[in-house]
Amino acid sequence: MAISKIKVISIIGMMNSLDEVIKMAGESQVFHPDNALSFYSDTRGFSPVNEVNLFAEPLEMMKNIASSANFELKIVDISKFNARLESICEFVRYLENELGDLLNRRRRICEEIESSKRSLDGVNHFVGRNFNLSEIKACEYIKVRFGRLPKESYHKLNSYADNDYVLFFPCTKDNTHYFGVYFCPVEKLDVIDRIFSELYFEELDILDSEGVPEKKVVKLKNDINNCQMELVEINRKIDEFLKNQKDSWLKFYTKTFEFKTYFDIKKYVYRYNESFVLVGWLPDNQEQDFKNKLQRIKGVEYSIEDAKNVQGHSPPVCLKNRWFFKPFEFFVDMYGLPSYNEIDPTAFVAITYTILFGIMFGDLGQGAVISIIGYLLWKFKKMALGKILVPCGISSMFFGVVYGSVFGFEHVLDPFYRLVFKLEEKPIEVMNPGIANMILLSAIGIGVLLVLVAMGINVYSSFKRRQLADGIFGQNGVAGLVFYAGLIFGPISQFLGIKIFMPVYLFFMIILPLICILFEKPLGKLLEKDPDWKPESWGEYFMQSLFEVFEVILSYITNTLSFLRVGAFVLVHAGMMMVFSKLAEMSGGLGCLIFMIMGNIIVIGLEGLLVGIQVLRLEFYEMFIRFFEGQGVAFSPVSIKNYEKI
Amino acid sequence: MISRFASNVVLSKVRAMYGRRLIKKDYLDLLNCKSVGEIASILKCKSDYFQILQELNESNVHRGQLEALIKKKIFYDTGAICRYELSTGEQFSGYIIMRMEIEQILHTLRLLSAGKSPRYIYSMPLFFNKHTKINLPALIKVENFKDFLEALSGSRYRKILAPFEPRAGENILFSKIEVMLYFQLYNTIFDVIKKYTKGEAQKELYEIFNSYVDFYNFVRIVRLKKYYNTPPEDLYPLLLPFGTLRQKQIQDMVQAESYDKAIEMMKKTNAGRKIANIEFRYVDELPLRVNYLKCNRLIRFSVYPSVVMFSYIALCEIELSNITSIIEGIRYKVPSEEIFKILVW
Repeated sequence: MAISKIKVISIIGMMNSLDEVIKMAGESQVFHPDNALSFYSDTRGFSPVNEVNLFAEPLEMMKNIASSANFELKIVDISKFNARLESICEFVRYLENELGDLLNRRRRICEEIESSKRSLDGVNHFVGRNFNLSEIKACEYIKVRFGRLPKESYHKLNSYADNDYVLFFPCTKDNTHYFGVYFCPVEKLDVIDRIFSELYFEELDILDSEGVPEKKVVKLKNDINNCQMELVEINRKIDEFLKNQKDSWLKFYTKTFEFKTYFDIKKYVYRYNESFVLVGWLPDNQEQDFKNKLQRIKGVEYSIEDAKNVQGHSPPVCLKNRWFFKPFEFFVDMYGLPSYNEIDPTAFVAITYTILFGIMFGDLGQGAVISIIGYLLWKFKKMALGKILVPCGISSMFFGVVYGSVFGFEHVLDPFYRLVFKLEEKPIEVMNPGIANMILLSAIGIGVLLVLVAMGINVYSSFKRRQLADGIFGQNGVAGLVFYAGLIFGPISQFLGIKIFMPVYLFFMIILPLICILFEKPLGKLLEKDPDWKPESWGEYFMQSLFEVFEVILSYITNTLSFLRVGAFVLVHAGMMMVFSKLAEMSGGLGCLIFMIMGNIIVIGLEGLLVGIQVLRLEFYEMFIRFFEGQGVAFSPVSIKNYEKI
Repeated sequence: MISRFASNVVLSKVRAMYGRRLIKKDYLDLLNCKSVGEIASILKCKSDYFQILQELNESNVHRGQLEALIKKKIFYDTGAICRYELSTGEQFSGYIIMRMEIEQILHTLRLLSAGKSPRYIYSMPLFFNKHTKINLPALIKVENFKDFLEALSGSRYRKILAPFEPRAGENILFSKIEVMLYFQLYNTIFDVIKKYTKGEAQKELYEIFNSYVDFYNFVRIVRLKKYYNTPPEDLYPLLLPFGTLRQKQIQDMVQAESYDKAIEMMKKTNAGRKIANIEFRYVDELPLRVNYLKCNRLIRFSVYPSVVMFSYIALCEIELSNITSIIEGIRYKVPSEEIFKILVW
């Protein structure tokens, strides 16, 4: 459970050394810049450095051309490649002239095809109507427009009831539009055209044909065929160009990206007369190296301070966990990173997630399959989830041995138990009614334990962050912890014959904590010596808090019962495999093999997914909610790898 | 209590709907577009927008037409969700309608001030006419404030706006009307939260609205100081009397020497501390950015249907604002990198 130590560095230097500092900070790959203004109390005379990033435009142009060409730009190794702004601009001009021209031609042809197809759709609405386009076009005093009008606009035409020239005659309609015609005297054309244009009337170019609309249909079909042939030829030329220029393009792209990213640090820099100020964060273990590099630049001074002394500036967070826990940072990140002074729950998630997954999906064979799938997903697809599946699968295998289950065969491991543990058969027969009850009760027990641990972590974390009110009087603080423990262990002790429900127990374990929770806010303010600790109205406060306490008690019960799903999934898993085993037994021969394979695939796919989601649900909603806020900011140093996707 | 548990269906439904939102890759695709038509074409490929945009002609699409269709989709999507939430759904759907009504009123007033009321016909959302008591078609024909009040006569707004009728020769007090309308909106919503929710759900909903109002007030102070040089005494009535900023903090910001000072003061308040973790170019972006961070988290991790539902409504409005920014940016040939910086995601 660790968060890397971070330090804040303030760099002050002469303006003529700014470019060198920025280059050094960028190349170090460990510098996370921050707004310098928020670190100084007196910022009079500070002004931002407003320099135009000259690399932004060529980069933007490269991206635009690549996007039009469906070419994937990516960062490549440029350790042996050098380029300056002039050569970058020259390359971009070359791209624009050669490839840009081909792409423009392709775009025009595609637009023509699209437009012809749309016209074809529109003209089809007028096919079969008995009118002659040549005669309509020849009208001297009246202009006619064919087209379509959105239905909503058609209804808005009612507002023009007092304008005799706003007339639209629908011919046909579809779900969203009316297809039809409007006409008006030539001298009114401008006004009427504007009204229909603002009502989103789309004109169909139908009057450029002679005779009936059917002739226009034939012409449009021919146009589409010709364009498609031309498109094939242009696509061939584009592919050829990309094949030849791919490597140089990626190198120029990476170099431009690098220059542009480093230059962007300047937006965090403030100028003060002839000096500049730059503030940022560094990992503790990189401090010396960064200092050494900085010292080589003339006219630069710096000061370094521990992040815990500047908590008000929300230091960025970089999680630091051991190899086993590290993959589970994925889940923590999904919920939200811890603040710098908060506890990192990764190790807690790693342990509880792995164990709960194993309990709920215990099968030696299927666990092995999950581990292998996880490994392959991580190895070949670089999926973060893959790394999590490996330990989960191993945990499944362990509990599979406990349940004696291998791909749904429930007695395959019996010889193993006889040989190693001297048992007659497997130790836990999940489908035995007595054992099933014990599994469900154990699930509740696990729930109680985990909720108590979560509350314990919250107490520790609250004290660490000096949030004493929450740590002592909160529903997840000491008061909540004592009340919950009292509520759970009291009845258990009674059941075991230990008479624990004495007045002292009731007062200290139940009533007193409840009173603390009920008056959490005023007590908290009193503890912080806030003179304004009294609520505005005691009556209103009491009524509201009473309902809240009722909800708190209810949430303790529902949260605990929520862990029943752990036991339920143990039974579901055994039940599902039993169904497939029975079906396999009944079919026999090859059918038996097919049923067992299909059954295992379905159970691994479906139930594996469900268990994964349910355990995550337990982590987030039953445990994290008690001790983890996750409002931290990620430490993201300037590096082209971090900014690549932006 | 029973209705609260029944409303839990909203949690899954809303999260499933939120899964179909526009993500970073979609925004990057939209930013690569060269025209409004291309934007429409890309949105059409998203299953969530396909239905509403399917009949749109990408080669001849108007910016207003596209925006109107997206607004319509979001209005119905968010309204549909409210039906499933039994405890506060009805009240929240009232909020959605009220917000849209206020938008229509303010838009009409802008046109009326410019003497262009008939142009309202082009942007009038006819689909909304059956959900509001305002006579939308009558707003097209308003020639003066009296006609305007007449068009509002069936709704609650007539009484609210009647005192703002300007005397002969005076201009419409647009800013004051705007504040009054938003005061009504937030007053209503804070009443709903107080009356229909409690405990953690109430706390989370208050957090969303208070933080939005805090930044709304802050942005108003900064803008009025920076661009209009408004004197402090004229500034107070233009702020919303809600949120967590204390009177003293607001006073200090209002009386700050400069715009930069006001920002520094805001950063020292409880609400303003969030600014340190947010990248922004203009302070105007802050209310939406802060709201996005909060709602994006609550929609995933809150266990209260009313909170998750409202987070969805807020996030849909942010998505609409992003699409509008992209459309405007591309229409006015702003570099995609610049547009990207103002998107909230």
